[in-house]
Amino acid sequence: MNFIDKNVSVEKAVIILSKNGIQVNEKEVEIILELLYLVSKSYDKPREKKIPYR
Amino acid sequence: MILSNNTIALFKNILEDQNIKTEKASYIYSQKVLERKIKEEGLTLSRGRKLFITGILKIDDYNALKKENLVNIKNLKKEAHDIVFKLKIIDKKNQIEDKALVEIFQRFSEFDTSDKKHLVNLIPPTDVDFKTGALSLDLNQAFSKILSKKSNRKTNKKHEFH
Repeated sequence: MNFIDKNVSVEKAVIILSKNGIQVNEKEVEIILELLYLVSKSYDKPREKKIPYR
Repeated sequence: MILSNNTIALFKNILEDQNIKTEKASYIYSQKVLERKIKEEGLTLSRGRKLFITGILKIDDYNALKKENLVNIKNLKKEAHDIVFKLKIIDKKNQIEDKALVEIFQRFSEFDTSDKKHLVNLIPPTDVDFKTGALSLDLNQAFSKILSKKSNRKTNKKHEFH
């Protein structure tokens, strides 16, 4: 799965993590973004199982 | 395995990015289209009024135009109001509690097969116990900086993927 149109750039991610006390290099942040974009897809799905309308 | 608290800010940015790309973007686009249409309706009425004042448009025609214009504006404003409401719901949905946010692997079972494979490639399991389903994960240096062990979980389930 590619995330070609990711808006959170490597540079931005490094800055955000650094502000929160995590020092990472570009290679590390690339793989971190890959993981977080991957798991973020499941947050788009409905969060609760509801009884469907019949 | 959960996301460490100091990675939440980055993950929130990513979730916001994902939402902007999907439904939020389409609502914002619709909102702009509606704003333009409402403005156009206002201009149409303004032009009609000028034509009426200069005597080109008769009073009946002007009144018909005004009536039609008001109905159009009312409908467009209703649509715009609905979109504002939908955008508010999206923003509310985005305000996920940090506690829920760190459980990034909680919905692993709902992942697509390709996404599951992708995740397993990123974090390869080691020492799999096929009887219990328990496994260890080979965390690289990057992930060990953003992930932490979930301490208050029942035994043998901390690294378990289903």
